[in-house]
Amino acid sequence: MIDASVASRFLLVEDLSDKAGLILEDFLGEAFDLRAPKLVVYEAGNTLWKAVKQGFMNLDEAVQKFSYFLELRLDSIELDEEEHKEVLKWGVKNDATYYDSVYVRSSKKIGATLLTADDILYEKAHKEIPTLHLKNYQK
Amino acid sequence: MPLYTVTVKVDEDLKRKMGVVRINWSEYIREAIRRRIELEERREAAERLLEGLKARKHVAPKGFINETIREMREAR
Repeated sequence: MIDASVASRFLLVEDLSDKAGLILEDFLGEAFDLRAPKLVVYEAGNTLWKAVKQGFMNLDEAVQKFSYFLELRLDSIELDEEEHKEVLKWGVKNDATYYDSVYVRSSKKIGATLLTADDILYEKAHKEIPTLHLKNYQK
Repeated sequence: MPLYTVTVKVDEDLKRKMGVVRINWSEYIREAIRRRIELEERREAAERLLEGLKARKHVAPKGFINETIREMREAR
């Protein structure tokens, strides 16, 4: 399970994008599947939007990258009504945003380790579910 | 949607065992083909993204991704 802080590093070269490359290589080597909730599409899409606005790539390049990203079909985890209520409760109880909590609940749902490059999500999540920070990822 | 015929050859032993298992083999094979094609399309996309990272063409300043995502998660 990856969150948008990892998925966005498939699209832009930034700190830890070498580790994101290792994730893609291991996916290609069929070491694991890559999954995420639908939220990842909106967050990665907005990151690309901002990258275009700030001139890190042009619109055509961003559309092409987003096309590859969508073809990865990461967004395969859907939460039902009860699970969304649990997200809200967990988020309030643990002082985590609803969006952060969606990743935690989605990982729990499929019994997967959450991989993130976001320090705040890592701190909240690792007390609840198996969580790995991207900086610590090794082949 | 029209359906097309795809022939799969199996040996006598496998054919006999297939007869014992009561499932719709056409549906099973259709689903297996669909999943494999989806996996290959996903792999192709991963290879294109990996090429992009290796080319180091679209560089963002350190902190850009995390700050952008954190802004979204906390300000929406």
